[in-house]
Amino acid sequence: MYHTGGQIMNRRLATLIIFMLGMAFSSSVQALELNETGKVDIHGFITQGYLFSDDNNFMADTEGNGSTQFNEIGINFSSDVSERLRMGVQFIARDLGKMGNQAVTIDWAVADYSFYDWLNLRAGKIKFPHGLYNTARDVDMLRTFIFLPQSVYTEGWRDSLNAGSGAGFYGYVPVGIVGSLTYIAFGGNAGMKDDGGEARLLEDQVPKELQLNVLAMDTKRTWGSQLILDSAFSIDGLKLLGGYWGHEFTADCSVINGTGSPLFDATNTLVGSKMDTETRVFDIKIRSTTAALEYSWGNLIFATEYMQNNYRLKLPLSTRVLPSGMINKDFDALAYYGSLTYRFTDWFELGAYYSEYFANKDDKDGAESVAEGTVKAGQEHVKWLKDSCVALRFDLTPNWILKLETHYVDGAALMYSDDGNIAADGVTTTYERYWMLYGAKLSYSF
Amino acid sequence: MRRKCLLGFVFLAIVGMYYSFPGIAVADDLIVIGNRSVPASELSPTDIQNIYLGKKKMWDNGVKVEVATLGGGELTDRFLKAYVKKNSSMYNKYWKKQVFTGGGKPPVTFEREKDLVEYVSKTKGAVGYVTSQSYTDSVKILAVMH
Repeated sequence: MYHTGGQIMNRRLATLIIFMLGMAFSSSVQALELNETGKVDIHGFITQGYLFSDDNNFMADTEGNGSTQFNEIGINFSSDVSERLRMGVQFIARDLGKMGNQAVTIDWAVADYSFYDWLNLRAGKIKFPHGLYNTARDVDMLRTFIFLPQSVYTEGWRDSLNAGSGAGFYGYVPVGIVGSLTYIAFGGNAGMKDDGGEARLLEDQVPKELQLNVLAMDTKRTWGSQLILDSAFSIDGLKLLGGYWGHEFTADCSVINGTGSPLFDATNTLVGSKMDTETRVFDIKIRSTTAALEYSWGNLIFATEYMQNNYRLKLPLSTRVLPSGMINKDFDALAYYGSLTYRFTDWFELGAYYSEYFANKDDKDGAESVAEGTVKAGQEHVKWLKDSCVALRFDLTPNWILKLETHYVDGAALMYSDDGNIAADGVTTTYERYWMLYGAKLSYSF
Repeated sequence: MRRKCLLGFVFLAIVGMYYSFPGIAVADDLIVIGNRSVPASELSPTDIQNIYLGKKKMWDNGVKVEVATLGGGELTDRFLKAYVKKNSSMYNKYWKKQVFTGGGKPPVTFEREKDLVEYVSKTKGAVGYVTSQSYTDSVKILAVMH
């Protein structure tokens, strides 16, 4: 019998949901004993969210009536295969606007072998070491907020930052009064989808008139490293983190070519006539440096992170096609935030953060981008995102969690034009500068 | 409209605070116990912290560390605060994170001290904590170095 991809995907998703519901309502879901030598632990979660914005569409069709295309379903199986070897896998189906679309994928799958406390080997699809909270970004019940600060944990980069296929080492070393040092090193390949968040962000880097379309993404190499100092300098609850990672990938893109020279006039308006499209290979290298601090004092947690990403883009396009400023780019994006959460009781937690992101730290006000023609005058705010967030978390039961969250946002960086942020002419990207985002999310985990 | 929404969130936060100040845990005497296969006779507070955070996975003789906890209560609160430097909520969250990110196996949890002692006595490499009244000679006491 012939099945479409969508039918197969929906059947897989339905199977996953039915299995999870069965596990969730069975009397003993924590561990399923398979044989005499080991047990398989099974855990899972289901979430459903709602997003609404008064202006701009954030990651989905949120403006107006809001969007319920915001959910995750995950289930994991893990077992101690031997005294030194642990294996596990987590499947996830998620949806956030155009991302995920509830396709069942492997979130992580890992074989973890322990030589010593200071030397452990991991191989498989491994959670990527980025910042304080990246490894748990898919697990809603682990945090106060619905959205982690987008400056450091943008949803658009979720696919490549979530996990990578490869191998790595980690371990911990006590270093006396300095604290307990954990190191993490990973090398491999972080998959990017041809129509994923990274590809869509790339398409938004050039004027929409050029009709840039990413055809294929090919990750060359990915690596990541972190040093984490717990109980730093003998201060209980103080964690310091330093991280460095890199992505190198290419993107096969189609873009219009044209006749006439130049294609742009003095105001950077496309004046050449369109001829056809041609395929070019874009080469992108990213290096990211992160420094973070987290301090826990009783039920209070303060966290702050600073991240700087260096982007090197080689776009093999003639100056006739793109403004000269876009041919080769070497710039730094800047991101930082501070957050505070407090758990008042077993069932109530309050959190707030302020987060800032600048797409180019040397062009914070977007004036340079307007001058070179990559941003329309009046849309300079696409070069930054300043987000003030307040979140309430209610632990209704040990398994059920409800979150309510509001954001007051200045700017529109890290968002997608094809989420509906296009002007009436159907071509020009347009965003309001100041806008509000509201979110609600219900999650169940076992 | 935006200001009203923000004020609404602040109001909900204040209501939450009013109903939510936690009680203070009362200390009780506790001892750290281990299976007879555990090679150590004493542990430092840092050892205990690393064991209960899953960072110390093997004993010096190569036997795997198996961790047991009690499911909440004053004794657990006191133990976690004294040695793991986390409260129960943060400790549970820590292990949920490990479980959902492939980071490790959470401690085995018991509601009764008697059951924990029995588990430790029968499980190679196991370690746990109980009040001194629950101690039996089926397990060994691991002295805590200060």
